[in-house]
Formats: sequence, C-alpha cells, structure tokens
Amino acid sequence: MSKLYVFGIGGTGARVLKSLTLLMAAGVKINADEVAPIIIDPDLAAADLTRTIKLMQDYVKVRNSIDVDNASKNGFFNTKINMDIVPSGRIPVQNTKDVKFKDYIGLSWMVDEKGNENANHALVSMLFSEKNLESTMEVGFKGNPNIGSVVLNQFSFSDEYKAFESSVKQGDRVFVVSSIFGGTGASGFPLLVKELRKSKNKGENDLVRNVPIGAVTVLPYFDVKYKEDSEIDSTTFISKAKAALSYYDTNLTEVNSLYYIADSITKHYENSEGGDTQRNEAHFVELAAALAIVDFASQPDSSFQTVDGNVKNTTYKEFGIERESKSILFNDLCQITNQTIKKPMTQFLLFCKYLNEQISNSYRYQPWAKNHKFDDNFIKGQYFQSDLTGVKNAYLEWLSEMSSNSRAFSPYDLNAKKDVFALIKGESPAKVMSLKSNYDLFNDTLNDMQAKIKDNDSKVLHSFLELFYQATDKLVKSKFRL
Amino acid sequence: MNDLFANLYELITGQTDLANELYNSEAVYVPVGWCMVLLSLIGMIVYYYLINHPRFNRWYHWLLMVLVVCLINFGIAYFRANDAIDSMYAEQNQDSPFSAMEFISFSMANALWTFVFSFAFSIGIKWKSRNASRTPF
Repeated sequence: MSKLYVFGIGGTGARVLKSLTLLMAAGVKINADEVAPIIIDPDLAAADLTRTIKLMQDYVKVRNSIDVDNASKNGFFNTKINMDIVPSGRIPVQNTKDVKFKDYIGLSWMVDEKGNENANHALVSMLFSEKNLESTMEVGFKGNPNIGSVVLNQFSFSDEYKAFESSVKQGDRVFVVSSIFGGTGASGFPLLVKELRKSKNKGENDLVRNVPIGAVTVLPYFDVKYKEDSEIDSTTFISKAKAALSYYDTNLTEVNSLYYIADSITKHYENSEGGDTQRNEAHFVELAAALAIVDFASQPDSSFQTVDGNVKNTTYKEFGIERESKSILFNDLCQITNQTIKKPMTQFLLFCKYLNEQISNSYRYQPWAKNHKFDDNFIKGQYFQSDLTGVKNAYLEWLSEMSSNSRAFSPYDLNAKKDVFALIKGESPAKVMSLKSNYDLFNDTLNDMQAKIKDNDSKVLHSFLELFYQATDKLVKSKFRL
Repeated sequence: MNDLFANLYELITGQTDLANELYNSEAVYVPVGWCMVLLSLIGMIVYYYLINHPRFNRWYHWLLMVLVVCLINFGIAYFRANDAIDSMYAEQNQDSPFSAMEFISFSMANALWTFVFSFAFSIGIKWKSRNASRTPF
C-alpha cells in the first residue's frame, strides 16, 4: 500500500487539492494506492479551505460506499483519499486567533532588567515593519512570508503532523503544493521540506527523512484589486516571487522533483485578506498544478535518490500548453495532458450533466434504474442527495469557474441544451448508427449496459457508478473517439 | 380453426344469430382470427424491437400501441364480417337482417381478444427488449 501525502499550504494549496480531488473523482489515475491530503492554513474560515475540505469529505463518503476489487469496472472515484491519518484534513496553527504578531513573538518581553528594549527587540524591529507587528494572523499572513516563517514553525509539534510522521511507510511519497507570491504558502513550503528532511522520527530506514518529495510552487497567476486598508498589495507579488525563487535556488535543495507553473495573464480578484470572503474562482493553473501531482506519482522510485535527508539530484519541470490562447480548449493542450484528462473529465461531465438534467425524468421508468434498485429510496437517500450530489455540484462549479476565469479553460459548452454530446468545443460529435440522439441515446446506452452490472445490495451506489462509468466510456468512445 | 376461433369470439358475443352465420360462412372467423393473432404479435414486435425507444417506454405508450392494433383489428372484423354476410345474403337476393350494432359487437370481441393476445405476447417477448423490458410493468 503506497500513500501519496499531499500537503496543500495556504489558499492556493487548498484550491489545487480541490482540483486534484475532482480529477480523481473523474477517474484520472494516480499511481498510488491512496492519497492523504493535509492542508496547512491558519485561516480556518477561508472559503477556499472549507470548500475543499467539504469536497474531500464527500469524496471519502462516496469512495467508502463502493467496492474497490479488481473486478470492478468503475473508474470514477478510482483512488482512495485517506482522511484517517488527519481526520480534519488540516494541521491547525495554534495561537493565531485574535493575537497580534508582536504578542505572538512576545515583543513586550524583549526588554532588559531596566525595562528598556533589548537587542532582540532591535533585531525584530529590523526584520518586521510596524504594520507586520500589529498584524493579526487568524486569516493567514496576508502576503507576509516573514511572519509566516516564524508562526508556521510550530506545525511540526501538532498531533496531526506527528500522526503523519508515524504513518509514513516504505514506498510512500510526499508532495507539497504552495504559491510563491503570498504569505502562508511561500513561508510554509521551505519550512515543511526542512522539517521533513531533519525528521527525528526516523522509524525504520529513515523513512520520513528520505521520503521522495515533490513540490509545485505556483508563481503569480492572479492579482487583487487595490484596497487602501488591505495588507495585501499585488504589486509586490512579482518582487516577492523573485526573492523566494532566489531563496529556493540556494536553500531549497532537498526536493526530489520541483514543478513550476506560471501564467502571464492574470485575473483581478477582489481584495480579501482572508476569511469567508477569500473565495477565488477556480483557475486552470490550479488544474495544471494538480497534474504535477499526477506526474510525480507516475515517476519510478529509481528516479528519486535520497540518503540521510540529502537529495542526490533534483529534477525541475514546467507545465506548458501547445497553443497560446486566452480561452484554452482541449486542442490547445499538449497530447500528454489530453491523454491524462480529456477522457475522464468528459466522462464525468456527461455523468454530472445526466444527474443534473435528466435523471429525475428517467429513473422511475428506464430499465437501467428499475432493474437495479435505483429507486426513490436510493435517489432520495444520503449517499446520492448529499455526498454524490456534493461532488457533482463542485465539479460543475469548478468547470464553470475555470471557463469564466482569465485565462479561461473552457473546453466544454456547459449550457448546451440541444444535444448533450455537443459539449466539447471545437469538436463535432461523431455520428453513430442509431436513430436515437441526445439523452435518448444516453438512456439507450445505459439500458444496454445495465445487463452487465452485478447488483450489490449493500453498495447500491457502486452499481450505479459502475453503470454510468461503463455507459459514458462507451459513449465517449463512439461520439468523441476517446 | 373455425371452431377454435368461434369458441373464442362466442365466449364474448354469445351464440347469436350473427355468430351462427359467421360460423357457417367459414370465411370470417379463421381469417379474422389469424389477423388478430398475427397483428397482435407484429404490433408487439414493432413496439419492443423496432421502436424500442427509451422515450416511448411508459405504460401508456404501450397501451397506445395496443389500442392502435385493437382499432385495426376492430376495423378488419367489422368490414370482413359485413362483406361476408352481405355477399351471402346477396347471393340469395336478400338484404342482411343484421344491424350495425351486431357487427360492432363482433368487432369489439375481436378488439378485446387483440388486447388479450397483445398482453400475452408482451409478457413473452419484452424481456429481450433493451429499452422496454419493464413495460408495461
């Protein structure tokens, strides 16, 4: 059983984990038995964080209700997400609520016997501005990695981090997702890598110290509107990224594979320092960053050599697209990217659209439903209404947000009503030998495939997903030659 | 065959004068009966294997199909019986003594048997239909 631990640091980390979760729901294969996500973010209320954790919890519930034996022909929710190691999905950052940074570091105690400011106080004043010292931290470090690098040092003392360390086994890998231009991600990434490499919890064979580490560091791909009273100023993003890159170049040599992603086109978001208003729309860069995780998992063990916490050689990779476009279609992506995502994403989109637009008209009458107990009890039950619907809504929202972002990723016509198969932009669906079209063809295929589905009384959702996976597999092969 | 179909029809219409004439003519019960059986079978084959459409697999689509076949068999019975009786009496230079209602009664019996046979054929052949295997139930 090999695990891939994915640390998502800060808001970007959470959003990339969301992309990864949705890709896995669609059936993108990860070369690991299970993925263990761990988010490090002091901003408990950040909408991006809560959305991601809710999605992962829904995924786990759906995944737990399906069979995973080799005979199963269901590809949706193919990879297990392990939230047993860190059930909350996140490592808490203590003592940041309603605490100013100056109080966190005990600035008022940095005095000599006479009560005068001592040398430590002077050093702190040199490293941190007055604004830094007065800053509260419950919504993160607001683009200040100098604060983050102090406060985040504590995460290795948490029970969650210790649980992670003790769960690492031979064959496991670690991947770290962070942005380079903010506060939490930029400071948390090098801290985490150093913590891993100097781990005292050696276990057998220095497992944690020598665990293969991959990381994607996301360079500026959005900026925020100017706001007078906000501590986040996007004009500093590039200079911060440059400074961090320079630091990584000389100090961050303990990573086996380092992926970079950047975009010259940037989206202007509302300026939110954090909390429930920090809700950035999904972006293609986050999907591409999630693909770095897929790529890292696919690399052979022989490509990672680490001895006593020292990496023999680091590989560096960048993500690219085939053709420059402000609105990316599948035709604009490289072949290897299309091979990885096009078929599963299209299959899952067909599935989600069917759930959204058609199932209520069909499940009471079609043989595929009547022959397999996909009845009112199932459709109105917890697994369907809450868990599966949660993932479905997140997937459609994710695609919709990416398609309206800048740069846009809009390979699908999400509002195509006339024909559900006219959904890949720039491609006409192939003609098939059938008098049926649109959802009639979909139902016809479901009714054709249903005879091959074996019922599992205790896991009806499994039969349901297996049927839709097989039907959409047949449909995308015939309509899109995928 | 004449006896077999006569028994079927007279089960509904009773042994009326018209029924006796239709039995004696030997040109009505057998062809009308065979038409009824074959058209019921063909109607169900068309519904389950040619139409075989996920949009037309509700019970009322099935019923509509059966009613169409019933209507066709109603017409066949009415006109075939009318022609046969008219011809028989015309040969004797007489007018047919039977009213339209008596012919309608026979035609209704044919339609009713059409419904029964269609239902029976549905039970027998629906299972292999891709889209209507659960129609009408």
